[in-house]
Amino acid sequence: MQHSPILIIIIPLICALLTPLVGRISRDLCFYWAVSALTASVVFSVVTLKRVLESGVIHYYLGNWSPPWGIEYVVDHLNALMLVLVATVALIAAIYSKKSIQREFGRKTAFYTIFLLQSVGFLGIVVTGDLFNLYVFLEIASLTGYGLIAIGEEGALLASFRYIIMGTVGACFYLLGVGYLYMVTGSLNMADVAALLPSLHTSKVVQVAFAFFMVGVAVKMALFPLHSWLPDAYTRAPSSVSAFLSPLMTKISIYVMIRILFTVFGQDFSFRMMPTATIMVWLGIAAIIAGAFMALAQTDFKRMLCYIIVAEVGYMVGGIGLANPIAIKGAILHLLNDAVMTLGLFLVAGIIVYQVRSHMISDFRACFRTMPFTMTAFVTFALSIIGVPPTGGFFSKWYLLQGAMIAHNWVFVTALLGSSLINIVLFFRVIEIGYGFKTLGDGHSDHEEKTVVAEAPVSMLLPALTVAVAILLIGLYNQPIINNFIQFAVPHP
Amino acid sequence: MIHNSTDVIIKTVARIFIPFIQLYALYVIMHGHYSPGGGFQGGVILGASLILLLITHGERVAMQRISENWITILFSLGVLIYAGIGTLCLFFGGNFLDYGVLAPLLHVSPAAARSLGILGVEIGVGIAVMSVMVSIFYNIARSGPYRNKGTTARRES
Amino acid sequence: MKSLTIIIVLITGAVLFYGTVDMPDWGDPNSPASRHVSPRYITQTVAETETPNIVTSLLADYRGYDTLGETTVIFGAGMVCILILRSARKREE
Repeated sequence: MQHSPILIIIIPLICALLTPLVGRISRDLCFYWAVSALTASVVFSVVTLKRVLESGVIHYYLGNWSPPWGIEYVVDHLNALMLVLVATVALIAAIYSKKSIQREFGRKTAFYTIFLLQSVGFLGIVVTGDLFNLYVFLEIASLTGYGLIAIGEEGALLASFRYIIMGTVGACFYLLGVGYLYMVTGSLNMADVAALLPSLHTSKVVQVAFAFFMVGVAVKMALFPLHSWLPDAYTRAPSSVSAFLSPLMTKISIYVMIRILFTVFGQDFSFRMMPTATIMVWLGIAAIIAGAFMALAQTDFKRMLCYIIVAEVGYMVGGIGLANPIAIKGAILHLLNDAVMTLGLFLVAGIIVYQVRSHMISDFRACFRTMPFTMTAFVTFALSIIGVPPTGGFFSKWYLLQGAMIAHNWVFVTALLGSSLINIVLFFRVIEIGYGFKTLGDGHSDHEEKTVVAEAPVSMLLPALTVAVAILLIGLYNQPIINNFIQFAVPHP
Repeated sequence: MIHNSTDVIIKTVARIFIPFIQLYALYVIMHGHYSPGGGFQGGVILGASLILLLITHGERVAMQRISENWITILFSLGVLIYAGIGTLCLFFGGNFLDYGVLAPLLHVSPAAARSLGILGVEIGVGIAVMSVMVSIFYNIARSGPYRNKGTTARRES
Repeated sequence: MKSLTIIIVLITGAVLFYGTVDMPDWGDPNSPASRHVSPRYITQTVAETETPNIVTSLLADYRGYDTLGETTVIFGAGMVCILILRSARKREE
């Protein structure tokens, strides 16, 4: 079990390489192949998590070269939790993709190869303790992401192309940051760079490197003024792909931002010497307001969810920018919650696309009657996004709110509460249409409803319900999660 | 569809050059230990030689030499050699990619085992780069709106 | 919109120039990049890996995992091309 951190990555990688060969035997086998690879990944990430809980931070030297000469994997409490999250989301999205990809794309061999590579990219970003290694896996994750988005519905190619332009600029900025840091420290290992940096805090090279890191990561996470690639890309992507990418890409970028802020540069530099905190809070507020209002203007369900993601990114960035332990705890808990909620909402969106063949809100008519289980899951996620008590969303928002009050940032408080109110409007509009109140007088509706009767297939419904239970469990166990994992990631002033 | 070139000069020059290019590519891969070179560079040169064959002698001849299926298998195989050597180290009790532990298997000193490990992964990289280059070229050449324009032009003439 | 783009480009360029002020000199043997990790690579490569070419040993051994990642990127690029272009081909046919 000493090798568990590398096995999380290497099993899906080798399975991805073998998928084209498996596809030669039988195309349908690829699905089971991908699911078993990701199951192994989940198992090893849970093993790693257990090891971290029992014996603290794990260091794994690749090629047995000690850092800073070689590459090192560092698993602490935060990324152990992230690993389990990423691997589980990938597994759920893979199980879910069985039916939907059959209809939406059909060429399963290539799809599952790329799908597994995408998981490898995400997991590799999370597990590494080396700045350049992170870039390499960021590249794997981005490249495969562009490909997966491009196979979606009409207009997906163009959306993917815009994403390529933006994403490449973001990755390029990150790489520039790595280069500048290497120039003044001579090291790529995160811990080593962190140890060398304090004597260099006044160096202009370090300041420029920091700025490039932040902008690069902000593009990848679709922080408000740089979000323009996100809505098109995730709306046009096939449903299982948007369910896989949308919870992870933005959240992993936020994880990278946390690493850069606290692990590499340290909070003394990030928050006291640079005006990062103020910029982050105001960008966060702008993202929350802009995201909420733009979501309000959408008639397309998936597009509405995309703008909700933009607003949610604002919560987390703003929360970290408030720079007090409670707000940062809230932001990290929200990272976990938001990944689960977004996954759930896109799963529901995918089910509705599968059954109704449309993702316009107006086509949700009478969905409650025909698909009661799906819509129950939907209501759970909606309540969590709004922030209603038993769900996970409430607790993270509560921490963020408390943090904002401690920081006396009343604008953030107002934005947070205001966007929750807007979320109520957003989701109740969908629920209202789903109940069919608006179509009572419509003569055509009876005729149309006969074509849509069945509940979703089990392979799609079960993941959605599992995620719905998960969001409730995260809500109930928020205190143990914070005490056992998140509090270790929060820097104490 | 890429057609057989009708120009005798192009075909002859390509026929003379391709073996030398391929030989040079293998040299670049194998000599990476002593001179500038290695898998990436050698793989690209090898890929270039196959692309040259493809554009001078046309798809049919090139695909007889190396079919599209084989290319797909090769680019899995290339990365698989790399990852496989890394994984093999796990079974010999080392960390991932710790070629030194392969010494008992290869009957050499750990440092020499590292040297051989490097050679192995360079070969893997070379195969992967070569086949991906050819595959990307082939796929781009065969799709898109101008894909069949060549055929009609030939028929008319 | 165009003028905004130019302004952003100019700002980015200015920031990059601002960074050059504190950069170590070009080719300076005492720069951090040549003092921190490089000496071990230069002096130990032959003893540790029996490979005279430092670049190769660095690429494929000391930081071999990055190279595995880069090879995976290339594999991914090939696969993505097949994913997008072959399906486009099928749709047209």
